[in-house]
Amino acid sequence: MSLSLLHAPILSKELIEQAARPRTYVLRVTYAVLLFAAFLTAVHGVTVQLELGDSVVGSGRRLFALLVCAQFTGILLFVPALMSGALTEEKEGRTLELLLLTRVRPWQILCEKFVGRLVPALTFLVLSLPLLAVCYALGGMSAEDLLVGAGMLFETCLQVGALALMCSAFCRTNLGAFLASYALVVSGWLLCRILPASIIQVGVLWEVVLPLSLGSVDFGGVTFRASVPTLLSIAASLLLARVFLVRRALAGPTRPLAGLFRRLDGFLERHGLAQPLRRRYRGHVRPRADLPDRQPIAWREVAKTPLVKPAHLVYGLALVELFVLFSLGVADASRNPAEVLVVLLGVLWVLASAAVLGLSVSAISTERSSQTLEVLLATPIAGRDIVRQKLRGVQRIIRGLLLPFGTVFLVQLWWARTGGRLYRLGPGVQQLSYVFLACGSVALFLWLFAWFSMWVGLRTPSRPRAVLTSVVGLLVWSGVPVLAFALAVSGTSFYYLKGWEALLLLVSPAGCVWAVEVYPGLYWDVSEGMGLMVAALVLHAGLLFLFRALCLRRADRYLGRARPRRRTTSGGFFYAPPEQ
Amino acid sequence: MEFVEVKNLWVRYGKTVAVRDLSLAIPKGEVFGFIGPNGAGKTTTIKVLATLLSPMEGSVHIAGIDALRYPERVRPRFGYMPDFFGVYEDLTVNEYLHFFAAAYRMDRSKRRAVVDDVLALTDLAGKRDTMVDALSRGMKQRLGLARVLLHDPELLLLDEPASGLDPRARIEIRELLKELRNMGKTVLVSSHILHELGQMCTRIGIIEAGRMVAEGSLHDIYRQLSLHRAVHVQLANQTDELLARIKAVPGVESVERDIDRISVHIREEELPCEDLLDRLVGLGARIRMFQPEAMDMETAFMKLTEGKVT
Repeated sequence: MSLSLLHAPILSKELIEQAARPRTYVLRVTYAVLLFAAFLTAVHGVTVQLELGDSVVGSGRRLFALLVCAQFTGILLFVPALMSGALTEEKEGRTLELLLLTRVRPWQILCEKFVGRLVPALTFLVLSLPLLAVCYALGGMSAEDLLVGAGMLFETCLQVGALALMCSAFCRTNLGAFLASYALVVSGWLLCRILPASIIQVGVLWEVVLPLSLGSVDFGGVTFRASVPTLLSIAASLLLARVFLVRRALAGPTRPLAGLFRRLDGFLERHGLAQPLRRRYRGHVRPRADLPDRQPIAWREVAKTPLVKPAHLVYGLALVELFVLFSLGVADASRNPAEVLVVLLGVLWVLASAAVLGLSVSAISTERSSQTLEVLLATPIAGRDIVRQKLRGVQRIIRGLLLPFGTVFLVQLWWARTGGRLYRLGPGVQQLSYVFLACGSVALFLWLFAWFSMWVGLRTPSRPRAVLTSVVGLLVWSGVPVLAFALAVSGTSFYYLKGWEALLLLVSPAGCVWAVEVYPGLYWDVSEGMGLMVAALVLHAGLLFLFRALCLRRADRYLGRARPRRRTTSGGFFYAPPEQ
Repeated sequence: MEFVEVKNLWVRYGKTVAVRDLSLAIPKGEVFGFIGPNGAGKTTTIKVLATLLSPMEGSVHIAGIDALRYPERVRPRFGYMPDFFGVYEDLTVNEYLHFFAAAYRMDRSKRRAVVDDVLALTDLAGKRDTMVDALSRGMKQRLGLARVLLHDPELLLLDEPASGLDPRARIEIRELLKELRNMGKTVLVSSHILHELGQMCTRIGIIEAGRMVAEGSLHDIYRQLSLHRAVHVQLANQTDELLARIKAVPGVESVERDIDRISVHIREEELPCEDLLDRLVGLGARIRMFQPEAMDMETAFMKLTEGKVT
């Protein structure tokens, strides 16, 4: 009997759609390859043990634990991506309101979406069945272990899926739901890691978050009693999803930061502070003319773009600077100021990268989505000028961000020079090299992110996809070399920056920034370390110029303009590559 | 010399051929109506003219300049209005027009006067400081026309300028286009609404599945298709004998008897409407009403096209 005959039209649509998408199979194969590769690596360890003459009987339990951990990680990584678009896709396609007008009840929509999106996630779990057989054959585990492990993984799947579905019901866009889902899952996982064991193991909290911390516990001691709160948390997530589904079906865009700035505007106006501020900053943060002069696109970027327009820039930078000064105060009072400073700089980098990436990647895709790009392309402005002018707002943001970054660097230098408050910066050359590298890395990497994101935005037609590609690209670029570095130096002296392993770290922007903040003074061999760092900065500067050149030279092609046709020597025509 | 000359244009999107061997020529000062069903290739052709799309084959000349070789030279000579609004909603009407005046590199000293002029022409002077997102659809469309006129282009490429508008806004846009025609602009305007173009175009081209199936003045097309014009007549002394005599007049195709009138179908190239009136009077008919029907473009369109899309 077909699902549509069972009155499950949404479920049948979901399953048919997923079956028709090549992405489903690509994901499944990728997941299987990664899982089997991890398992085979572990099995290789067992065979080595066998070659050494040790008994392998009972090693099945260790392999099983590894398998459960791998599956647990897979669930955390893949299920939010699979589930977060369940309702936002309908919202973006304006079909959710039509669904709500039919006789299909909201609960039915929710349940069918939930089940429809869980099916591919559950197939991921089924993939490990042959591997479980191997574990069982090697011995050391009971049938009860098997049941508990499988049950916990199933519950984790349901729990993470329900969280992601709740985000999907709450958020307006796919991107928002995607980011919110991962933020919630990562927060839950971090909570398990950060909270002291004594707190976690007492009371309900431990049980509610149990599946999220399964990878780090001995699952042999888990009983099904622990499932009750987990199931309750799933029910709570679904209940909230049901509430949001109807209440936020037609929710408009919310801009909390813009709302805050508007309230600040009102406050300044009421207290007569707005006029003096405007006079003070005219020509610096305000555009010099109220109407565009020679560069209309740059004028609009600076005068009208949220976060970049004068009032927003002043308020935003003031907020960030206040946060920096507060954190510096905390660091000063702390017993270990270096760690506080590293965390502060980490937060600053995340904020700065997000602002630069968001503005750059949206610069062109917003024009595409608001259907203004074609009109702009029909004007005589050259493609490269459009791209350059579009980045004027980003330029302003980067300049503004030098203030909070500079504050942190200078305070560190001041502390180091006045009484060694900051022990990790040595005297003289190391202090200067730190300031040089720190300032250089801010200017270099923020511009690199800007041009990289602009390149992605130019090549990707839709804004959400461009943002997603850019974010994932930067995360992979920043994260993978650091992981490779960590693996390469594991078991050796982790903190010394030299040799080919250092290059692994330094091809990552995050690795470079980390190296600048963590290594100077304490761990650097100044001659070798400095040379490596400069080489890394030169490498990244090269990438910056590469992305810039790609964006500018191919601007017309990426933007969608016709390429000028050239006559060949034989009298025919061909379309020349753009902007030779 | 033709102002716009398109020869043997072929455009492909992947495996789909959007425009097949299309040729057209528009003399200066002419209003050319581009008619065709959705997906016929109208927008694609206009995008090629607006230098937004590269054709696979063919040539495009605007004001004698090869638009495919020198797109940057022809861009200042035309104004392009796409089939969507294409407006920045975070700007005021005044800022929006100044934005594009700067984009067209207009002399700064002249901008204010030009913006005032186009605002007056499009009847938006009272909306100068209104945010664009607060304008109605009709006003946004007029703002789009105002933008197109800013740099005083010789050629206007208007893709479905009246689509999605209410009757009043459509009439306003139509009147505005007539005004532009009177100003001597060369206009290429596309639409799938037939009677709209019939009232303002000097020539039309009917396109289907990427091919031009007919081109010329309305009269030429009717003649090509042997279409007849219907004239509605009320007679005070209507008799069978009189009707038989009318039917026998050379150039009259048929006479149909309606409840309160007769419809005389004539071959206009043989018997113009004015001559029919004279002949009726000559036959002794006492005429209460004489009303030639507007040329039936819908019939022409249906006859020429088969509902195919690319």
